[in-house]
Amino acid sequence: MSSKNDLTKPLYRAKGIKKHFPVTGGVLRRIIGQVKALDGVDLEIFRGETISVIGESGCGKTTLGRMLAVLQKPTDGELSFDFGDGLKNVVGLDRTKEMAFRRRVQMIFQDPYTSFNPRQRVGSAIDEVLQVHGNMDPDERFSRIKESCEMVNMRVEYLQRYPHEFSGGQRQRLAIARCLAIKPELIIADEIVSALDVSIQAQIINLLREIQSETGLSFVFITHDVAVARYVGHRIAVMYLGSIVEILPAEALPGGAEHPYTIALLSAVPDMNLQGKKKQIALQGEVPSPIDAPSGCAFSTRCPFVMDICRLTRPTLRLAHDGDPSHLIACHLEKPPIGV
Amino acid sequence: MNEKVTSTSRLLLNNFVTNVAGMCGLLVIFLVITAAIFAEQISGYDPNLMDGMSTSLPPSTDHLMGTDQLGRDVFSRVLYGGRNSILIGITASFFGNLIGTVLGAIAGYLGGKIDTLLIRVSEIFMTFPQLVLVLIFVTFMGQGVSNVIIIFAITGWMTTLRLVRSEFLSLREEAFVEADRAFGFSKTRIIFRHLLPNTMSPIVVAFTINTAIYIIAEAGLSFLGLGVPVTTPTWGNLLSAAQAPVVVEQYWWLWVFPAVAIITFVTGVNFVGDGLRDVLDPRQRTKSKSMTMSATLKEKFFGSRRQAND
Amino acid sequence: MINILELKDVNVSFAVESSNLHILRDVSLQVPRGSFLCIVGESGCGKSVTAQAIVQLLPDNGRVDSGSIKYFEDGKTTELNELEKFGTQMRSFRGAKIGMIFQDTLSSLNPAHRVGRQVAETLRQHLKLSKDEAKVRVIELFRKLGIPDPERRYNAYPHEFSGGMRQRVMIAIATICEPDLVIADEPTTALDVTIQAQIMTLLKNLQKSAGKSFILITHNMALVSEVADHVAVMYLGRVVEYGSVNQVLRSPRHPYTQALLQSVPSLEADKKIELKTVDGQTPSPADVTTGCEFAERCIYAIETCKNQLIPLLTFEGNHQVRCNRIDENGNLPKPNKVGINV
Repeated sequence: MSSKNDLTKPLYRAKGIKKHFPVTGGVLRRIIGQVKALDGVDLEIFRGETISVIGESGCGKTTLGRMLAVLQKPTDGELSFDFGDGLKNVVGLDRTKEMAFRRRVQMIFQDPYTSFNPRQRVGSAIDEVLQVHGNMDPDERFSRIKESCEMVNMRVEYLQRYPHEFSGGQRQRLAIARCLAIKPELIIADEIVSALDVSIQAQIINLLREIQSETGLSFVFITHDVAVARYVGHRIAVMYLGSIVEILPAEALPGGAEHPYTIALLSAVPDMNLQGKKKQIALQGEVPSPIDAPSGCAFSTRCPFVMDICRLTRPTLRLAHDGDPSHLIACHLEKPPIGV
Repeated sequence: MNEKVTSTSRLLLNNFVTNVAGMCGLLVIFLVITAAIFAEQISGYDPNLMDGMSTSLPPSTDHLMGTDQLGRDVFSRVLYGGRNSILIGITASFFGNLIGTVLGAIAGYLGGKIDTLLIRVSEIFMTFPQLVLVLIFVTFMGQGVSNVIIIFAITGWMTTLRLVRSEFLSLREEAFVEADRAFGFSKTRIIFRHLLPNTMSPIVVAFTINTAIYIIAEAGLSFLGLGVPVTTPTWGNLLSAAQAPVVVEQYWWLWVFPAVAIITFVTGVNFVGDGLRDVLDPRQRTKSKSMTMSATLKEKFFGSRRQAND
Repeated sequence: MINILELKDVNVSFAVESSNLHILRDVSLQVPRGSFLCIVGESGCGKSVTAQAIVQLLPDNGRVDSGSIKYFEDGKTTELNELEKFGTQMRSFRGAKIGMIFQDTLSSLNPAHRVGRQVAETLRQHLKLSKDEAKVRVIELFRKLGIPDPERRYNAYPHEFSGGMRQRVMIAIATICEPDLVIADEPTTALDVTIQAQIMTLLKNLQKSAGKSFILITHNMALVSEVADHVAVMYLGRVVEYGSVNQVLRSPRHPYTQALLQSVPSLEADKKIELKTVDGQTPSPADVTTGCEFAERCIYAIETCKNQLIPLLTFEGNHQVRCNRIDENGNLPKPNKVGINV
């Protein structure tokens, strides 16, 4: 799978993204705290690449997806997208510019059973997207629809059916076709295979890789499945409690992970081939609530290698120890904890 | 994959056809409405024609439901009365629902200040007992069929608003609505082409139920002499004849037939409404069914004492 | 190898509308004492129904049509499916001799009752202990299962716990009466991977320290490779392959098992190779009434696979496979189908 990565020109840049949800309480409904779903996320996405975002519950990966799709406004931070001549802000745009953005950045959701209007035939749903986004006549729209269907191995005749007549896997393929119809540049896929059987998952994964090699689209692939993330993505972003703790090339997994949380995560993932070869960090306890997020490094409460500085200062993303420029880590440890 | 294309409407229709009560109700309504529409052809008498020679006659082959004190044929008055009563019921329900739906959709989808405002307004309306509100409006506007319709509509939209609003509030969070927003669909498009069609079920059920309610409300009002004046027959003001105890005892045909008409039609409407609700809300039913199944499974499994005699 | 549980040719059908769906087809399994059996398969394969059949908790429209489910203890054999569904004997099995852990903890725990009480209830039901005696045991079990601050947590409500903690409560309920067999139906599917690791460690410890036998139902092959002693692979109600975890996962013989294993990328998968998977999707049980259930999607299938009885082949070490196309050396021929496009 080739990827034309011009490292100097990202397609999409997220800088310092924060998303806080106020928590109200008491009789007078005052704001008593903040759920810090995202607490300062920096991420760059390049053309033709798939970046997998992994993490456990509460890490903020779904919120990040929604921020990238600008379904809600971030509390703080910048989101900028390259429409063709340089990165431009995409938050708070007027209608025309917003539509231009949405034509290029699409989203597919986790639950295949509710992502289509149950009262609308799927063909009409795809057609509606084309109508809203362009001035194509019916023939052009039909040929676009045909094209997208072929890309997802769906027969055009089935498009006159209603969503409930399709299986989960077929519905996800239709959701992908719906996005492809308007030829986007970036697709955010939020846990799109998690609700599917393993063999159907594999079908969809193969399909995504095929689509990418044919169209050069970029993907943000959000998932909790580390092995799938590594298989699908060029780079992996590991999230914990609202921030990215490590970004590394997919091939660097599992041996090249440097952040203690990433190593712990890999230790916990059951794998058929790796018994005895994995670095073992058994994490105790549970992820703290995003309301009581610890000061300093979010992982300091559970990290086996915690130092005093970890509790005071939040580490920022910097180059990792192995010297690969695309490997970043947010950790105060100078060297990765090898040989645990 | 099945070869026949089945729309959700077709599926629902199939389900409704097998619902016995609903179909009976539908039959009854159909018969009554047809009779009301073809009143002239069926009855043969002018409902307002007073025949001084045939006053207060009990039912006979000439006058199937007898005549009233002024010599008018009760059967034709019941038929024409049905026409007016049903008209009031359906039209008031339709307009009340329309107002409630539009306002409910706006409140439910937009939320925020508009929602709060609409809810407050509806609450103000609801603090008055509907009867009081209706009486106030009747005093100002006067009586008559169209006035009654208008008054019912403007005092009865609140329940539909709440219904539609709560449907919208929950639908708003569904994935396909999020997907619409991600595609950049306008709010209008989302409300009218995606959310409303999915809200039709409760609206239709509310429509049938409100029709029944308004027919009875009109009957009550007119019985008290506050609704439609006696010159235009409705089932309600036909019933008002029964205000005099002597009528109740001796001239039973003056009030029994209108009463039976009301009961039959309203019951039919309610059956249809129940049938529709059973058929149109399968999501509600299956969801709660599966949840009770797991809870009971666990209780059954661990042999809790409560389950001993299951 | 003494078994604690044996299923032989169990057939279960569900009455749906006017027909009978054949949900479990000639299911035969053995659980040796103190071992860990994993039943693995995708949705619709009948793995949960198997668990329900064992404890006689099939839904109202389901019933065991034929076959036997035998529980062995100290020389005594009980045919579980012969017992009355809610009779005293069967109820004494559930909870006291066979414990069950469900997937969805939120709906399996009564939200209106405190957690400690729910665990104690099971204990008092089967062992006739007083409230205080039961409470002591429950708190001790909470501590053993890693629930922090167990005395305080005894009085908490289910919604006050995280998913992982709730699952530990479920394990407490399932094991408080010290049953010899524990059935866990997808207990960690909804949980984070790090929590899943903790829960699995817990269960494996129970197996090793207390000699408990386990049946784990899951769709996660990788998990199976780490915890199972034996594996049964199911497809559309039939056990298509059964054997030790090494046999089934390292030398899978059935085409479906092979496809399933190849569908899951491992952490060291070669990214240049496409995942080999099965095309199409699992059919409905009503659509397959003769021959091999997998024939429609199998790349080795021939005409006879669809209409004749599929033989049960046994290879060394009791490695069983149901397949028409495997020769006596355990080898499959060359594949003939390219794949279906739906």
